[in-house]
Amino acid sequence: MENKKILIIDDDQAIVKYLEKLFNNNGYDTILAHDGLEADDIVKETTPDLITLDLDMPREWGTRFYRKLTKKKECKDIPVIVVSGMAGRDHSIKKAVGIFGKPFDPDKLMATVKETIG
Amino acid sequence: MAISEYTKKIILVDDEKDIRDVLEITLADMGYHVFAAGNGKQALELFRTEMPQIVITDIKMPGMDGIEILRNIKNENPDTEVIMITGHGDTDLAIKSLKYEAIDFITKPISDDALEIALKRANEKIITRRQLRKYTESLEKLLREKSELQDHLSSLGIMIGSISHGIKGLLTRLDGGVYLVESAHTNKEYDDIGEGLDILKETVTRIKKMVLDILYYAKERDLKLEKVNVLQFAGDVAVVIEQKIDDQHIEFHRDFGQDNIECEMDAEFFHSALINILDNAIDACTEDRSKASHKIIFSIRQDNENVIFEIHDNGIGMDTKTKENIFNLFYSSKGSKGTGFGLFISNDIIKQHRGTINVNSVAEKGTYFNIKIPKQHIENK
Repeated sequence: MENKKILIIDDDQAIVKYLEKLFNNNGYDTILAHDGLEADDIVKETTPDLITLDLDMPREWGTRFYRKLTKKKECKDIPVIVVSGMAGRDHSIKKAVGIFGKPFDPDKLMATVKETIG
Repeated sequence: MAISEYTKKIILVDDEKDIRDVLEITLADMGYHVFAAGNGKQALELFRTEMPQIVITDIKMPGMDGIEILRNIKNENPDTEVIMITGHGDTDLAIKSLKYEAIDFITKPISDDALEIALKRANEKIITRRQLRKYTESLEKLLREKSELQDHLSSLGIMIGSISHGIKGLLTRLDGGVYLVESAHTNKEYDDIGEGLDILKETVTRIKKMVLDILYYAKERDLKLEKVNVLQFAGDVAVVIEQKIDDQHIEFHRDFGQDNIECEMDAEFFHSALINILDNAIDACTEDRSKASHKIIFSIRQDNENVIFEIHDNGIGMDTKTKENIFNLFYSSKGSKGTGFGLFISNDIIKQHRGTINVNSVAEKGTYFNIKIPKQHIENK
């Protein structure tokens, strides 16, 4: 069976690499985006099983990407986990399956991922 | 009497010399310095030169009457208290004078008691007004201090928020770096160790920079001015930047010319100011994925009085909102990477050098900074 795919969206290259390695080590495939606009292009072509989303990013805020995502029929059910230094301050990501402030606990993050997509 | 010490000067206006003379003596006995006038014109002239706090004027006089004098005086200085002298049957005029804010009126023939009571009333009003002004002023001062304190507190609040946001990002990077090193070690993918170490090294550099920025902000010090060889100085700045862009695909050009330029500056501060701007140029280039190659040009020119530093980049450029806010403390367009300190500090340092900083930027095209400082430092006037 194919591995589940996680789309990582974060403007900080180092954190993208961190999450990528973390998910790969736990048996997930990853797709990387450095901001919401890049992520837009990605979800046009492929449907990830889960998305981790940073909020505070240049060019476009995570919340805006999220709003656009939930408007698309084929994307609106993709579970989203917020991983952001701004977590807790924003209430527009109501349907997120998890909200993690930075720095996050990788074990708890992995637990949420496993619980959500197996 | 005690209150009269504040109100030494009185102008006395009456067209009848006898009355003037008698009143002048009485008032002088009460401790006033009396200036007597026989008509309105003379009275107003005296009023303007002597600036008394009290005027006593007859209400009925040929030419300019007492009411007109009263209106003129109240118009020129509403704080002056005017006592009217009325004859029998002048009730209407007396009431009219009260409307124009005379403090009191006394009826001829003037008794010393009536005069004293009117003067007491005038003096009390003057003292009350003075106290009220003092209270108002100290209240205003308190309010000003309170609002300054609030401003400080709220900017402190924003600062703590901004710093802790920055620290959260940096801690996550450290976690990430450590995780990558550990993972490479556990999976025996030793080639990957370098990736984790690079992140750790870069993060430590950022933490250092952030701490220095905070220290600069927390402790503003006077400039340590010295004569600096500008080419050498700019060379030092360029080396730092060249090291930073070492492994990124950005060309860096020095355009320093041949002129030997000397400039009076605080080299340490000014170094930080330029580095902050050049750092932004690097970020603007790395962030821009629309162009194949990127270039930063760092040039130096001079005119008669100034040294001019110019920094061009063909990076991502700025939108209008960013352009308007770049020098504001805590404003950042760089998401989790920015603290909003950099250009605020640069601007501050350049201002301290009595210099100017101008920016021109077009979104997607690039940004141009022009920094001009006088070769001879100009002392604050």
